[in-house]
Parts: sequence; C-alpha cells; structure tokens
Amino acid sequence: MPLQIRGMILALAMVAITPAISAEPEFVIQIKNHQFIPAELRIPADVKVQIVVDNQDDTAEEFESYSLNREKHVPPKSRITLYIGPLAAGRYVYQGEDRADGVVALGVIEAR
Amino acid sequence: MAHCCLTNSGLAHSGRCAANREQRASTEFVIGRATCHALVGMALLLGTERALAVNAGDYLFTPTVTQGEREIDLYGGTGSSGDKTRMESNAGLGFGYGVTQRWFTELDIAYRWQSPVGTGLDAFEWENIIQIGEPGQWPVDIGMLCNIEKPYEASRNSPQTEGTSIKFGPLLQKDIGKIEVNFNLLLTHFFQSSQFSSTQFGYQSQIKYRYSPPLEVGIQAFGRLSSGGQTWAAYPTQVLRVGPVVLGRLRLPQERSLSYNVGFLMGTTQHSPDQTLRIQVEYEF
Repeated sequence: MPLQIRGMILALAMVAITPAISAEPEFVIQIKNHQFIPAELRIPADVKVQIVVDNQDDTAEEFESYSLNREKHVPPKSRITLYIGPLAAGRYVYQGEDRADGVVALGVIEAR
Repeated sequence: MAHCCLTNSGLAHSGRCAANREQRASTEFVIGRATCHALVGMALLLGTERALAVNAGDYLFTPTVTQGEREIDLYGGTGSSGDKTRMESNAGLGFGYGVTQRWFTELDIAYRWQSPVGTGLDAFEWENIIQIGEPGQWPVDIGMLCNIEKPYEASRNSPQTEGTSIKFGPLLQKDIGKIEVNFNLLLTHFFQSSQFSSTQFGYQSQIKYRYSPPLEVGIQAFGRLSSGGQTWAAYPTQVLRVGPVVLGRLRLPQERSLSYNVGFLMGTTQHSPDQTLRIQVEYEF
C-alpha cells in the first residue's frame, strides 16, 4: 500500500480515536410532553457549542434542522449530544418528530 | 467461433459444382465470413479489453447515520461508450435501516445492461456505514464504509467474472456555512481476481450548495486510480467522471420523505464513459 494512503488512514484513525477535548460551552434542551424546553435557546454567535438534548418522555423524539444541518434520533429516556457551530448571528429553527396526531414540537436556537 | 469458420471453410471447398449452388455457396461464404469476422472482433473485444466495468449507477456515500430511519433506495445510471469503454446501464434497488445511532446497513440487488452482452442480474450488495463521532464534533465528520458485493455470475460459479469483493474506506464530510463538501477514499479488494489487480483504489467527491431542502446544487466526481490490471495507473488510464448534480428532499406527512439526486457526469479520460447520467431516489419512512 502506498505510503500516502497509509499516512492518510493513520491520520484518520488518530482523529477517530482521539477523545474530544471539549472546551465548548454546553447547553441543555429538555423534551417533556413532546415540547422542547426552552423553546428558544440563546447561544453565543461564532462559537462552537455542545447541546445536550435530554428526552424525558417515554417515546422517541427527533431533533431535525435543515438550517443547522442536523437530524438526530433521540430515544426515550435518554440524552444525545449535538455539536453546533460556530454559527453566524441569527435564528435557527429546529423541530421534533412529525407525529401521527399532527403535533410537531418546534424550537429555535438564537445565536447572538 | 471455430465452429463457424470451419463450417464456412467446408462450404468453400465443397465438391458440388452446380453454378447456382456455387453462387449460393459463395454468397453464404461471404456472409458467413463477415459474420465470422464480426464474431472474432467481438471475441477480441471481450477478451482483450481488460478494463473493469464502470458502474453508471455509482452514488455518493455519506458518513452520517439516522437511527430508526428506513429507506427504499432506487438508483441507476447509463453511461455512453467512450474510447475504451462500452455503453452500459446499471440499476439497483436496496432497503436500508439505521440500526443504531452509529450503524446504517442496506441490502441491494443490482442489474446491469452492457453492450453487447445484454441485461442481467449483476450483483448482490451489503452496504454498511459506521458513523464515527458526531457531526460537528471534529473539524471533519468521519464515517467508514464497508460494502460487500457478490457478483451474480460468481454465485453461479462462472469463471468469467470477478469474485466477491469488499469495498471499504473513510467517508469525510465538512460543512462550511451552506456549502457541504464530501470526499470518500474507497479501497476495493477482490477475493478471486482473475484478470484485474486484486486491489483497486477509488474516490468520490461532492461539493454542494444547500440552497433549500427541495433544491440543492453541486458538482460530483467519481474516480478510480486504475481501469485494469494495475492498482495505480497513469492518469490517462484512470477513470474519472465529473459533472453537475441536483439534489433535494421533499417532506411527506408522518415523518416520511422523498430524496432525489440527478447527476450528469462527463468522462475526463479515455477509460471513462464520455457521458454518464445517474439518478437516485430514496423513500425514507
């Protein structure tokens, strides 16, 4: 195998196995009764952040946002972590699962 | 082939001298010889062109996985003939499922039409994508592909085709604002390679502008570092197709959606089809 390919694979493996040194500010969004709490979250603009989505319901939910380019399944009674940004100042809409009863949880992340 | 030539030779040397029969025999000989030459030419074409087929239905792998998402994946493409390639169309149908937050798997059945061979079941594929880390966690999002392909002819123990192959490699993605960049480095290993190098390096790349969910535009590239017996080859004998792509996703009620992407690729080397039209439609539910 050529040296360049070996080097590339090694570099990728190192990136993959290196634990994330998370210096990013952390924010929490809870899911209760199919609602995001808070419905509007303010984060600093131009800074990468971690957002923990804590689903306290007994049903699975989803965090989906085209503007943030994220789509994540959130199993019942569990937490997931999203890495967002750095974002330009503005409002970024996200939504939950499109349920059979037509109710969809909505939320906004405002970077400022 | 040999049978054809001997038959015509026999006609030419028959002892029957009736003029009409001679004329008929002569005509048959001429037609037969032309047919024979055509068949010899076809045999030489098939026998000496040791170029791996270029799959017109190739599509871009992405490193992110959505747990619980099921999809029916229909894809295909048609590639025109090039200097060193024959016209070929491919189509495939797959069913995929996001098993966990990190593992997506899909089973595919692929068909191929190739000039002058015809249409046939081409291969069975088992595609697996492992998402490493979370999107945005590192400077580049990383996934790994592991795709096992069993050619249909190999399933029938035909000696004329390559055997089972495994394709694997890193899938990389980077978001820069509304621009999304993908680059995949794919290594394919053939377990029963008779004509070609047992290991082939390929790559895929895409740059797209995320204008809106139903309409995104970009450029795709599909390449392979060799078209035949070598793992690496000089650029003119590599395969590279580049061209524009239009993509989008239409939301349907109850968490269902329809995604599409259509690309028109132009070959940049003699071993690439001059043009390839490729289409992919995914129904996600």
